[in-house]
Amino acid sequence: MKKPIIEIQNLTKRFKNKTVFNNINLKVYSGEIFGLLGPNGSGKTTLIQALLGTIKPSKGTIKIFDKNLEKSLSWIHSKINSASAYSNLQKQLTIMENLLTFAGLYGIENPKQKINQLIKFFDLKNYVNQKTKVINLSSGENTRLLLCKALINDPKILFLDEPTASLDPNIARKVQNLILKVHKQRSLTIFYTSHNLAEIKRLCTRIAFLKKGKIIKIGPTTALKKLAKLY
Amino acid sequence: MKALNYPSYQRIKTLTKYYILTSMHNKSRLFIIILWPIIDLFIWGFTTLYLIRPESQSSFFLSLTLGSFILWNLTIKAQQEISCQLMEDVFSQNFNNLLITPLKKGEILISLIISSIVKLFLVFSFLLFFASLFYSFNILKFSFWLLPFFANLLIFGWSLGIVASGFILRFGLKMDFITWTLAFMIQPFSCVFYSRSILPYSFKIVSWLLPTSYIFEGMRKIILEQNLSLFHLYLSFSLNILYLICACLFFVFMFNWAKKSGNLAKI
Repeated sequence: MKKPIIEIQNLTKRFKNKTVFNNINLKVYSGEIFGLLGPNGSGKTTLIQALLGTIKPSKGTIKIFDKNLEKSLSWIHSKINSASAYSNLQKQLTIMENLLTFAGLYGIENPKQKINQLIKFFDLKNYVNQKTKVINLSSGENTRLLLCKALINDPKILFLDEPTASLDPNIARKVQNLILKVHKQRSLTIFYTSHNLAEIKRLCTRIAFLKKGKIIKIGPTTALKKLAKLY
Repeated sequence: MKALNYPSYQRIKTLTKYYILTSMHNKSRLFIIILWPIIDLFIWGFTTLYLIRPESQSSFFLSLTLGSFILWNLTIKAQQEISCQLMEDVFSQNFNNLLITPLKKGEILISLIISSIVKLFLVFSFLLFFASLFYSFNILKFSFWLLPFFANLLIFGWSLGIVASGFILRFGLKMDFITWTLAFMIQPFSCVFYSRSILPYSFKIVSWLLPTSYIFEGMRKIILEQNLSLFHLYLSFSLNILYLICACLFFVFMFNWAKKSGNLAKI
């Protein structure tokens, strides 16, 4: 039987009196694009942050690469990466300065070569040549830059938290195409959250539908009919 | 249309109310409005009381004041450089990206401290240059003993910066006022420009607990009496080490608390 690359068991998170998600059980397998779908406030971002180790769950365990997340956090962090619509790189620095910082933190060898490959792939080369600061980038450029950062350490798992949330439909589609291309080239595992049903259907191989902190449906994208009614 | 050409009572009233509301909800602004002048009053009140004493009349007055000012600025900048750097990442929404790298808490603190040394070196050089240019101030009057004073003030500034960073991690940018004010809050008790003997008893108790007060007392002793109190130097160093350890533990505690409360993911 195939071993999961991410395994969540009985995961619960409470903030004071509010339960954000309750008793979540989930398995994600190597090479799939797993979509976590749900309306705003359903707990998607909290769940992805728990998987990234920046939120401590109230109960339950998370295993990534068959290792306990809490106990092997640094090691796991060296093998994963993320991009989110709710984060940015350091706005006062240029694209290159930012990416070199992250390359250093991940201990990348030949960082400039690696960065040049990424910025070429994500079509940011002109901005690097012009030494553009991050503060001057548009939302779409910023998203592509975050994806560059997210791939800098050749992660085995990529966590993407609503990466197209602030983009117009055209740019969002371009970003989705880039994600699909990256997935194909690198046979990455991607954990993708979104409230956009069409986007999730287009990108993901399997979907879990999260509502009010509970997973109410899970299965292959093709098997999940009438998802829109669940909203 | 005609009414739009004249000042409107309604618009002025609404905007005034808006400005007052914004100030009342902004703790740092409230602090600056209320507490800062009180702290200033203490500092300059005690300084004046100290200066009008006959024993304070000295030809070294300028050296004392400038030396104190430069060294105290080191403490403030050491504190602010640490917490401001963290705040810059929070403002940029980049801290979360740093957290998901293999970075460890200790590595964050060490990097913040080292980067602050580089920036403080610049601040210190500029201050010394202008003090020497305009006031013929010579820092070498403190001779070799400048180094332990300098080190002690830096360490204390770092401890304050680490504490302020802990607050920002746990409570976010609503605690940014701590960054701007923490060092100023302890300034009246640190005896920067005046001797501890001038303080009321309740203030003296607090000042005994602060390593900065021993440093400035020691600095005055060197300039006025050409006499170094090693006991004060050791005491300030011991207190500093204790506070630095406590500050690091506080940072770890706040970090873990922020992780539990979900704030670490939000900043």
